[in-house]
Amino acid sequence: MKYLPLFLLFIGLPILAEEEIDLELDLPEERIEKEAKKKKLKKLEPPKPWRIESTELTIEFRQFADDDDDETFENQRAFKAKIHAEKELGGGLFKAIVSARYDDQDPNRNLFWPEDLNYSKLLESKYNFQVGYKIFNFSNMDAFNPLDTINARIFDVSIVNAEKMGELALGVSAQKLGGYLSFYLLPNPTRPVLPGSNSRINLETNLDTAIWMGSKDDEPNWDDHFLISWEGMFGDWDATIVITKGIDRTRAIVGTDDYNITLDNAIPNGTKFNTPYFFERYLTGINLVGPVGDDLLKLSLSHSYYLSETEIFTAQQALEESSDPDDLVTPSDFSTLAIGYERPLELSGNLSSSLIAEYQYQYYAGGENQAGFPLANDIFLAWRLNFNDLNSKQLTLSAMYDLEGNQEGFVQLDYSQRFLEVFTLNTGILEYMIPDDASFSGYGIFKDTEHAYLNITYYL
Amino acid sequence: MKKIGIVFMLLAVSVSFAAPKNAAELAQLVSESNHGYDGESGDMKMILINGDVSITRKMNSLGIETKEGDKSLLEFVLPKDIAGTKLLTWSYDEKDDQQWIYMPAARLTRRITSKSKSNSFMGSEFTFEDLRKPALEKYNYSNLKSVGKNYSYERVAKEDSTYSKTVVTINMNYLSPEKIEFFDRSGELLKVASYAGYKQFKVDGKTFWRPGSIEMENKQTSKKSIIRWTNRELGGKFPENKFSKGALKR
Repeated sequence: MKYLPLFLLFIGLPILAEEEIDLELDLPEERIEKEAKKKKLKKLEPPKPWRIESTELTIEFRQFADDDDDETFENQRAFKAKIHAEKELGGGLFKAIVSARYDDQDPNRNLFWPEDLNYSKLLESKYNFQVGYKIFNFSNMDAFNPLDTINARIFDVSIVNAEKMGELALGVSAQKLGGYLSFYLLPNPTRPVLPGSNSRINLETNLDTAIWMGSKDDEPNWDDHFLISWEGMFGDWDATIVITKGIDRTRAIVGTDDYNITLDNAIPNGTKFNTPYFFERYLTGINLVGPVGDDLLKLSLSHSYYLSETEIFTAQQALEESSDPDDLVTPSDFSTLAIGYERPLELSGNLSSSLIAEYQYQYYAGGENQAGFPLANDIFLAWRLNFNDLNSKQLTLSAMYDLEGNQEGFVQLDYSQRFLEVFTLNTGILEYMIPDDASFSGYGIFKDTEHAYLNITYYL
Repeated sequence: MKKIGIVFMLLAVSVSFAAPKNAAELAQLVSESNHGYDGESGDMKMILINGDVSITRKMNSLGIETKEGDKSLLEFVLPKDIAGTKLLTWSYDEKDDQQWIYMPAARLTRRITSKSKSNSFMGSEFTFEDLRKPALEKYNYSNLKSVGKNYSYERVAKEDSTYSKTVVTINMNYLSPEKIEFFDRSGELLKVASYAGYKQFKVDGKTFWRPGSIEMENKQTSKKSIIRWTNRELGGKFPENKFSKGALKR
């Protein structure tokens, strides 16, 4: 537990915010009386049962165009259930948000996963301790969120909005330094769910079990993976600062690390090139959101520093039958700048809409995005129309485009509304524009996955 | 004995505040009468009425007074697809107000732009602006009129607003609004809010009045929205960090 001293420092940090000072000055007799009353009440209170906060049952339909693959079919159906229950125990709170999905086409999506499955307790009226699975969110834009990479994802046919899975975390949060400061240990990274050959992603073979690549003989030290975050305000600007060390589970390099360099040639020792490698890294960054007149300006700045230097003989390299050691790939350290601008537009009646423009640029050490990761130089535009009616109707038209012009992007039309008070409907079309030679690691895997979708959720 | 009771009743009814000299003075009296409640909590039911269709929304509300202004937190209970959604409002006395909405499904906090304050709140006839505290310093006041036992005045926002003006009728027994008429930017009457069912609360010996319901009627579309409070309590001591953006996720 390398970070125990830091943890203790966190607990002992001086109280800087004036509002934290407890001004309640009870006389000793009054305090004793109050505590006696509290104890009496505690004794009389029966244990509280689990409280079901919500239950969601969703039927997901997807219809894919031009399906000429024997392994998959045009109409894909899935059933998803999600339950949120809570129980107060020992002065703290058990929270359980768990989901499960059955997919009639892709066995990799047949899953049961925790989102939030944790116990939290407020101590000293200041420190909120939490242990268990937790979903973190450090996003402030619609498409580009370089800091929101703590949780593992269920990778599917969306470039920007893959579902998150809970991450085992043990930590404490408190109001400190004028904001909300959190420190978590992340001792056991959740494995991302990767698509297989029966998925809609453009993969020919099933991927093997993921391998983590760390700094120490490529075996990461789990006890020093951590997350420090601070959420507060700089003047009128919302600010979030993140410092973390862990496995980057948003970027995989697929191939093999089992090869020899002989006579300046990289020669693999086997014929399997389907292992996804995820790399240990430090990530630091800041999110800012603030008003500019009637509009909102959003900024994200981050830097990723990778700890492993192991090079991978990639599946792409195997396909191209290249033995050139220069084609071996390791993730390069990179810095990200994302800028977003949101402009609300006034419309007649109850209607309101907003225009959203976002741009992301990633600068790679050495100047080259060797692994061909997506979202390296992209623009995202969206127009959102809110009907502001009883059923919360919303229509969104969005598009992403690769400004480097080698991976292109997508156009999506999405509509959602509530009906009969206990159902929601979400439907739309997602059209990908992927060139034939797009990178295997980037948008290339989304080729031929254009589809229409309809999700109907029943809330119990 | 009966006569004495009647005399007491008459006295109680006649305990109202002295006639104000001008609109600004009355607005200040109203504002001052509302200071010192510390914290406030309650359950809210919002009924949206459109012709024969009537739909109910449920929320829990929490609010505190701070040095800079009021902070409030609304958490939705119904409909279930948005249960757990929280609206955090910081209504400053002098600075621009700020609002955030937390959506639990996405675990995402979004800031509400100042222009979006004119948007309908949950499809109701209330806007986000209506949910903010109208700070005294942010308006110009004029046209004080006597309306029976009560008084009304015009209130015009110094900065950008959804409304060109509002006409506020103050119930002088409670020093609180009885009716507010909202005029759109073209000067036409848009909505009328009627306050009813006032209840008395005492905090540290000071008396506060809170309406049991507000009915907002859109005079241009005839749609109505009614907010009703239950389990309302004043004087609660809630920590200010409960009203921080970071705490929305917890």
